[in-house]
Amino acid sequence: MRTTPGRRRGLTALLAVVLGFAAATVGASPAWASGYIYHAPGGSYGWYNFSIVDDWLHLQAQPQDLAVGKCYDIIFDWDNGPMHYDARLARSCKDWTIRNTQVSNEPDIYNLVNVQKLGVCYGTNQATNVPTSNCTATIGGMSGINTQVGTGNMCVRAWSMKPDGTLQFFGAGIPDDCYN
Amino acid sequence: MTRIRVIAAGLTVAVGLPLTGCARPTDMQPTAAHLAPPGPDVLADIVDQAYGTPQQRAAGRERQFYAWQAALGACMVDKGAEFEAPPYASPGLDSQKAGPGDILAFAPHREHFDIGTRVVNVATTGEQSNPVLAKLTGPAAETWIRIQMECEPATKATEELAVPPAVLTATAKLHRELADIQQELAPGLVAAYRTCMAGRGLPADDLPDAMNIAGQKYPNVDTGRPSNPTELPGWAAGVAFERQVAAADWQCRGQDATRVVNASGEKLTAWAGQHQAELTAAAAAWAAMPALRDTAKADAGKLRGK
Repeated sequence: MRTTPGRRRGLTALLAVVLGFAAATVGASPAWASGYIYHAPGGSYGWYNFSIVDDWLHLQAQPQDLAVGKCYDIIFDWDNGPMHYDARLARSCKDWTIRNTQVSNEPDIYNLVNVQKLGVCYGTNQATNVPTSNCTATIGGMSGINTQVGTGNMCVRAWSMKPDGTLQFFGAGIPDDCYN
Repeated sequence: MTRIRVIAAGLTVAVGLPLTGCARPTDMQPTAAHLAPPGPDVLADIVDQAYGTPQQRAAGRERQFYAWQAALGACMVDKGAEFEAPPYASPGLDSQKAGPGDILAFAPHREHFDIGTRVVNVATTGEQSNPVLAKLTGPAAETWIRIQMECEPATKATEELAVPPAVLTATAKLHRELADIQQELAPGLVAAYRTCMAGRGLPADDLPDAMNIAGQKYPNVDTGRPSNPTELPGWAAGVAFERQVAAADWQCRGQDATRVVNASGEKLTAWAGQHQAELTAAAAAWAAMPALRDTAKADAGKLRGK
């Protein structure tokens, strides 16, 4: 889940591009970014909106033309400096139906300073990022995320939707602790 | 009670040190290292307060689940839909060792990470869809789902209920203190851990990475319906690999972790003294959690509608 200094510089540069685009597009502070990430099938996409300065995040997963047993994720991993911070995941396993996290405000005490990972994945439920070619990442890579949700995986906070349309949520306990 | 004794003893010694020191011959003055309570005991006392018991933490997870269901259901019933909360699929974990955190020098020695246990516990009961939706088809199901989506915002306020705010405050401050102590007493540990794990074929930069790797050899389990995942091909290999990664984790940090924890008694005692109010608040909040769980479960059970 951690990035090396070299990787972090690269990610920061990439993030600056994203933020610059967002700022140029909507005229907002470069402290936040919003956009779409597309990945097959069909026109499926993930949408994100976040502020690094104010520590809030909003994700939506919009699948189109899902195969049976497959799900569509958007995954976001905050950078908490030297500490761990649980990744955030929105998953829809119901075709043509958005799973929306709404705006999540992260507590100030965790000192969230950047973004480590941001991308979408389409794959088998509970293993959407296996293999990682299932994913399109805008920031970082998707390999270091455990995409199991609802099984007590305490490393990822997840908003999911079952294939029949039932909404679910798993909070993952203490945010800067992957075990509790 | 043990924790109070240990920390209180440490504080008494620390406060009394100048006076007792003055009353003794110079060559008999105890050093701080002699006076400080044992690091493992102090750490265990802090963890007990900040993390509660496994049962209290489990109650928190269940409380959040039922509060979330109750909020969703109340909104849906108001909009004319029928609602019934599904049963909670517990990941168990009543025997797990608590934190603290994922800080290499302080995370406990674990023979496994409970990954297989969690999956088995959830899969045995299966994550349930809403019982009402399961009976609906066609336009009736579509209407139910539409109302559910309209009511999604009602759940937002329940998302943080598994862990009390007082606990988040205490643990966040504790983790920062532990990270600082690790940096002071074992500044090379993070880099050494990365190298050591890589040497065992495990590309883990930290403990969350190790846990993630440890889960990767389990077969994929559909938790949407009750099943016995231990019968799946590859399950035994997954269990063995999880234990192999946990063993490597301790091989790569155990010596430093033991040394750092043993040397931390004085620092942790001082920290606990400075944050006693927060630790007490955390422990009290955990103690209240089972009753809050019961209330949330009862509230969710009252919903029917139509």
